[in-house]
Amino acid sequence: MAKEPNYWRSFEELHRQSSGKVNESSSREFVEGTFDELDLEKMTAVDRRKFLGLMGASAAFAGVGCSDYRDQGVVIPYNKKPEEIVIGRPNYYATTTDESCGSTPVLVKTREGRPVKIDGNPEHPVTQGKVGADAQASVLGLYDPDRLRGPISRKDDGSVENVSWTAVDKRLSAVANAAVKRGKKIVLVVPPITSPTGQEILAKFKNKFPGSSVVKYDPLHSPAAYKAWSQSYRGKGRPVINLEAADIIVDIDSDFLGKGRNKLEFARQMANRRDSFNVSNFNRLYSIESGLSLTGLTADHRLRLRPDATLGLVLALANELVVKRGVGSFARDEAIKQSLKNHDLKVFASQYSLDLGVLNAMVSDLENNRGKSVLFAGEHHSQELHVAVNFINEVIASRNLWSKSYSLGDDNLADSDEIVKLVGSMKSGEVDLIVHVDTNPIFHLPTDYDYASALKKVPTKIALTMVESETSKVSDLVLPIHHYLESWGDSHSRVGIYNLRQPVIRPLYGSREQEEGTRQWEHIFLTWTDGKYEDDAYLTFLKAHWKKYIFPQINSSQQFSMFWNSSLHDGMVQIQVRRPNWQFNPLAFVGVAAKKFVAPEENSYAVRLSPSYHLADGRHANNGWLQENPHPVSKVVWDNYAAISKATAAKLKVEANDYLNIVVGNRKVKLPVFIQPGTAENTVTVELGYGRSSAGTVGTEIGHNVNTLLGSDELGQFVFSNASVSKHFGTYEVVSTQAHWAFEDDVPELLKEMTTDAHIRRKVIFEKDMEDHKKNPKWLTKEMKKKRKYVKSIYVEEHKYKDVKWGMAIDLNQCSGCMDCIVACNVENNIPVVGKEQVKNNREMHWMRIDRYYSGTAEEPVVSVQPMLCQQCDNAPCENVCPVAATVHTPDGLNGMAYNRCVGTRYCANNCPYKVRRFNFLNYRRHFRDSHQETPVASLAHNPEVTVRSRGVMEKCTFCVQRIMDARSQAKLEKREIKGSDVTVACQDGCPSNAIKFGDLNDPNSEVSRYRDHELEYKVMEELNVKPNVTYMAKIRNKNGEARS
Amino acid sequence: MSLDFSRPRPLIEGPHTLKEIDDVIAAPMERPHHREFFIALAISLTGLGIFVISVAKLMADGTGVWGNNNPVNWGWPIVNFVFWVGIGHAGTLISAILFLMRQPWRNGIARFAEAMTIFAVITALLFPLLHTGRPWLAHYLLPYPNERALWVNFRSPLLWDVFAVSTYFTVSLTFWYVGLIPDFASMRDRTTTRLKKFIYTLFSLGWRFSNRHWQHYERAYLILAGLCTPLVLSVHSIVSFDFAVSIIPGWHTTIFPPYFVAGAIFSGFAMVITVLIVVRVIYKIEHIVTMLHMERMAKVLMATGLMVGYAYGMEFFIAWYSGVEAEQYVFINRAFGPYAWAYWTMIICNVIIPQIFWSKAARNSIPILFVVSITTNIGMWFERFVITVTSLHRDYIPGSWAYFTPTIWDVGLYIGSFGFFFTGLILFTRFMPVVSMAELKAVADGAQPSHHGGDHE
Repeated sequence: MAKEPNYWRSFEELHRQSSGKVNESSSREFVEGTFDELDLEKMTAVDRRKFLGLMGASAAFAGVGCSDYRDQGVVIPYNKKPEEIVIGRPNYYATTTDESCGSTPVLVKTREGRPVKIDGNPEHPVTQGKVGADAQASVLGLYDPDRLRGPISRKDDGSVENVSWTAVDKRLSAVANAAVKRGKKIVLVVPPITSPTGQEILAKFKNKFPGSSVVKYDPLHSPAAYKAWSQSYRGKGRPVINLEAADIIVDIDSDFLGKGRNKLEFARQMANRRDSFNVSNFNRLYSIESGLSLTGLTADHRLRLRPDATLGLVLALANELVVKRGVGSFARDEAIKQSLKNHDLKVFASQYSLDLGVLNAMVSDLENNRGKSVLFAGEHHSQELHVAVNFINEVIASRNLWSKSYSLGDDNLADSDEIVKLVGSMKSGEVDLIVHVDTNPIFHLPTDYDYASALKKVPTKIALTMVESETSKVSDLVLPIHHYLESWGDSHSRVGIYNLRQPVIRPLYGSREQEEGTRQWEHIFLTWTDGKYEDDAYLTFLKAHWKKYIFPQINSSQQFSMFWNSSLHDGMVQIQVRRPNWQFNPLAFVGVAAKKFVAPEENSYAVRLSPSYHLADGRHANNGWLQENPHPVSKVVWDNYAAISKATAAKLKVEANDYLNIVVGNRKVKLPVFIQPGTAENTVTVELGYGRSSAGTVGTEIGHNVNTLLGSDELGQFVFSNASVSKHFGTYEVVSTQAHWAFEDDVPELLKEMTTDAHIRRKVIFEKDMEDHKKNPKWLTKEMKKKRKYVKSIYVEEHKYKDVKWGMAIDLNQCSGCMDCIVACNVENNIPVVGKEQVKNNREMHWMRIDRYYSGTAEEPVVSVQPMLCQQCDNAPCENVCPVAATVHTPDGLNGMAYNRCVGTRYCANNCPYKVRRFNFLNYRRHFRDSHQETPVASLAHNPEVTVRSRGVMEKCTFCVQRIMDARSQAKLEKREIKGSDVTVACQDGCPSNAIKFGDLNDPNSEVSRYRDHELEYKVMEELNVKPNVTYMAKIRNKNGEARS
Repeated sequence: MSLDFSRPRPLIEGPHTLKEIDDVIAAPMERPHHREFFIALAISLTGLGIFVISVAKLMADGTGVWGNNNPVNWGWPIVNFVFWVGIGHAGTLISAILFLMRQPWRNGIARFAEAMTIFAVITALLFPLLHTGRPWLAHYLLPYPNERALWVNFRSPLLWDVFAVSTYFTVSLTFWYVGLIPDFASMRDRTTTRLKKFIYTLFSLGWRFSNRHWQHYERAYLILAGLCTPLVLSVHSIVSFDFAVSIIPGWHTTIFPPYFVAGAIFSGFAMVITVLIVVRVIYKIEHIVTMLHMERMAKVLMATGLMVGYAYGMEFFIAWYSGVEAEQYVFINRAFGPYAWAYWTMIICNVIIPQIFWSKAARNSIPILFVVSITTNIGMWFERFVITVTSLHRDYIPGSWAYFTPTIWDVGLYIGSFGFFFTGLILFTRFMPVVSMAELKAVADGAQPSHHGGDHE
């Protein structure tokens, strides 16, 4: 091992540690001679002094022996304070992450020099201040104790030794030059690089070492969609749909709200069309999908269809629209009419038992809303499906929805042929050196490429990675790279918007000499290309690139340094661009339609894979917060599973947690069963990204690796037909935070009746169809009035809240249930990861959860979601029952929690009707993975404003009281009263749909007050008279009147 | 044997001189160590060992070693607490209430029942302490002026509990000790070893059997009995407030106080029967703790069993009558949901089985009494389990419903608590008179002046 890492948060601390002077002086806190008199040897008789001495000594021994768990070491203030740091005040920096959906601009909150919270950059036109859960959780990646501290050389026998960067650079240059001389290849395997500077560096490297090639690949990327696009439209780039202008949206197994690059923007635009204050402006979402997804549960109409029949449906829709109803100019095109004649919607609907009423209503909607409708096709479906969907989109004139900016698209990503070629050249010994830049093909690539054995033939294999991965484990050299929070860089994924990345902390594991520690991957390549290492080489290069390529584009008269500084401050630069006007080419569609759609055999099984909601392709596997964030639909944590419908399970004679054997061609995988209501029959849906065999302490061997099911024939194609599925012996427990009792069969009828739809019977969820709502918009007000009439208080006089009173409103029309708020809350409030075993015991610590309720049948469930957090009740039942007054009410209406006072009787949690209190049954930081969260570096991720709770203490949501107190002291400094708008809470910041509103209830003009007066307003279980302060907006389902039956 | 109903049944079977009574009762304390005692002690010490290990594990790791989870925040420790407090009730009831009601038959069993009360309450007190997340901060529950400048919350039923149980324990202990003083004096006079003499002398507080002493004693005993009597009712009423004051469906019930008291007496008598059946055989005092006692206790058992049965039924009626959805659900879920097995165990053990005591033969059969007393305690443990766990596991918000499964440490602590209880009780039988010599002599033949000038001539 290298020497003990030296963590420091500021230069002062670093120097102090190296000189040791301050530590020395702090240890001599007392005046010399203070302890000198206490010499037991000299005391002969048991006099008063000896007695006192012995007492003192034994007390001191007891004190030392039983070290106080509350003693967390010495806190030493700055000796010389850096100018920009005010102790106790955060600093914010704009930078860019590529953790979540492409590259996302972020605003990083740092405290005393260390990043503690990541939010979106509010000035960015695309994300407008939002980031996904993965970017929120990425602070944990920075402080991951598993990160490599320095370069490692791995010998053939698997033993490792630490090497210096100088040795690495020397070795690389020797190997690369030899390869060039011998005419052998050098291969760089890179992820999709959105950085223009990064691309330039790779080009430079290729120039320096001729014979080197760059293979760009993304395990989640499907070339099919892009290929289909260029087939249908020709030309570079792809348009971005402006969802806000769409009235009718049809989702064909795409889950565009839950997964995919543009989910943040879509979530916001979708929510803007689901504003409770503008009910008549609601859009309508149809979802036809194989498994129940986030988009499916938001949809107004949802149909189940096996994934391999989607093409048939789209062709039948095209027939209905174009041929039967004569929509669009192609209605007169004989070739198209001819090609569609075999596809009849009615026949298709009866074949797959789809509700024809819904389909007809959908076609009418599309017909009547031309120019305001759009279809989304699942990214990992076939090229044919995308061509067909492009055609319908053209027919319904969805090009009207193209926004001004457009996406670059993922051109020049490797397709299957390129990888086959690469493997071939590796096998034939043509490749001398391969460098994996933050890529993990050993885990990701389909096994039938035989990449692993081809890799063995390459003499020098280098892996650039933060944490050891499957690929780095078979590499000769493993080079640690920076986290994005430690790096410089840029990105360009949306045309016209360049994002800048700046380091917000000095590299945790970097020394000035760079003999050990981490380096940025661009810097590594720059060093190799230049043949020498320079500290600021990459920054200089980046600046030069921007000066040469980006600065001229803005045609500004200002100086470059000013441009650079303002871009760094903003985190981005916007440039006016014109979107190309792509022309549609119908020929591609004719080809697809004419080729008869091959319907899947009736009793065959279809398998639909998709990226994990939280782990993506598995890159976030070592992030406990993401592993423990429940799946938005199934609420499963720490696992993937084979989701099948109840009927399919009965047919296969399997029950939940039984193992299922899934065979596609000659590839197979064993997965535990999860019975997911709403899954299409004879369909198995599975998430990728689990089953990493080497991902660090947290992520290794979690779930099952389903990449083994992928085929080499079509990269990124995640839909398989004709799979054979059968029961396998053995079981495996899949754990979820919320069971669905609603569909239990083995209970008496009476109980079943009361269990099903319990959330509706108890008025936890209110929903109404749009038509009914329009007929009687006051339905809920009437109902609530009736309910409130019977509520009588035993208190003669209600407590008055004089100044600010905090409250929250959650618009259930806008909430999609994406779970991003949970992670935002986790990061803000130092919520520990507890692990699968504890979640199994219902001991997850999340202060906020999103309850998911099914109603209707197990086959066609209606799904409701409801974010649930402490309701900060005025008559809080938890406060009465606490014997030690550890939870008390504050003058501004919060239900406060004094951790130090709590003895842990847990009565408050029992008496909470919302069950939002969380108890530290164990010291989870210590309990989970051998104190993984207690390592010194991991503790740096904590928010210093929030107490880290230990075992035996109750905790719960406090409406981010630390932020309220912060705003209050700020207001005091400015000699004014605190306003409701001074505070935003973490979940609110994290919600991409802006469904969570927070503010002052006493201010009649505040947003929350407006929601409180809304006709759709209700509070959960008001009849208990606990007077909750979280208001929910009842959900309106914008169903098509024709389709209701 | 033909019964003569014109006179009360003799409380001690067979003719006994007063000396013989002393001899019989003092025998366990004077006899050299005998085998039965050591076997019993070995078993209970094993239990105590399990208890110590379970507590050590709990202290090392935390409350999470148990099966408690988020909706079911109270699990076995609270069930055990109510169970043991309930066991403790019979002692005070027998000694104080029956004393006030002048039921002389109580004299044979009162001492033992009181000892059971003491040890049961000590056992019970351990549970709320251990069940908190941070037992080392339990003093936060005591209202005393402190450097934290914080006071307790007098609105919390848990605080009422602290006062109720500690008062009950203090008064019961005093009552028990006062009753023991004359017997300590007898032992002081009988014993031959110096150490024993010293100890018994110390505890007998200079008792000289003088008339004056007896007068004071009788007065004090009567006052203490008077103090104890309301406590019998108040303690379990307040324990029931832990549940009844909450807003949880299944807990929030006005019937709880009387229902809990009846249940406590029910379980307490069952425990007294179980243990006395064993003790009277071991210490050969069958003629002192007679079938008369057994039969009367069986009657009490059946009566209180009917009371709890009534409460079970009334809970269902009120749930239906209230019209509250969540409340109705909790009760139907109790009977037919995932914990139906626990509910029906409770009903069978507490309501159905005790009905056998309508038959006099059953009341006089030791095997039947023994089995029924044990099933009653099983049933009463399940009653507390049903109340605590089934109400919590599916309360208001359907999104948080869950199932509770105990762990080995839950079981360990429960079994261990029996070890703790019986170790105390067994040591008591070895060092203190299990039957009150003084009181028993008072009801012996010829002890009281009568017309007949004695009986059994």
